[in-house]
Amino acid sequence: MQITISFYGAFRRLGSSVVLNTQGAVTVGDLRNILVEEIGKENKALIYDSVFANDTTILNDGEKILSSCGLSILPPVCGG
Amino acid sequence: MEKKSYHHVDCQYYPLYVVVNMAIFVSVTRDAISIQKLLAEVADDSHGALDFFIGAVRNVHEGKDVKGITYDGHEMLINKTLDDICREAERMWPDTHYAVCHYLGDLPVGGISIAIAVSSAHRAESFDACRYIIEAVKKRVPVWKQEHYTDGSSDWLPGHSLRKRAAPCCGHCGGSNHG
Repeated sequence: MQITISFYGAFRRLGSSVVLNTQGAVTVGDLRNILVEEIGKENKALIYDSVFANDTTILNDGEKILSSCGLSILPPVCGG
Repeated sequence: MEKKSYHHVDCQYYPLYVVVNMAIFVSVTRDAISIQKLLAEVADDSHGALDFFIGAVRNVHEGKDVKGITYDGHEMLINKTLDDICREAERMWPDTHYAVCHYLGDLPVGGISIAIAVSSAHRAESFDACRYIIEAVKKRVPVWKQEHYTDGSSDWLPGHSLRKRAAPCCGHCGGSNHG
């Protein structure tokens, strides 16, 4: 299945999004590791300080993604 | 009874997203923030105090001359998080009203990035609740700042990780002092 990850903040330098192809269901934690492989280990620290979210909720690493969908990766925030 | 509604108003002159209930109004906008509108949202004849916080772009950051900031954000989660924060404050300081608007897009030095209005019967609750809102915004609301400097360079600012297991912040701020 395909999972589109939208980029924000410091991830924007890599573009607006990336599409990850996975074999069946994955956890959010799996996605984190897949993303490291996809966009490079130089981004590992930022990826591990970030969270994945859908349009309404921040997802825990243990949550399963069962079908193709769009998610966002949110780096450390600095609103205001 | 609480009245709550979500609107997507894709219009040049209105906020992109608005969350409304009787005591809480939160929004995201790519237009200039209307102070008057926020004041009107919290107005209540039984409230004798109104506290207002306005965040604006500084011309210097850590020794670098700043000419502007680009504000990036996840619009739907900004509104949800702002609404959550205001509800928390409302529980801590009952009978308080809230209006919060966050800007997204480019701003020059002096531009207003956020405005928070809180009203209450007496001043103590408004001051305390307004401070609570802005501190929570800096740590929890999914907004990111790209600073642009007069030498032509730009940087994404560090921030507060939303991961529970992560270090509490960027390591620069002592937990609460992000600009």
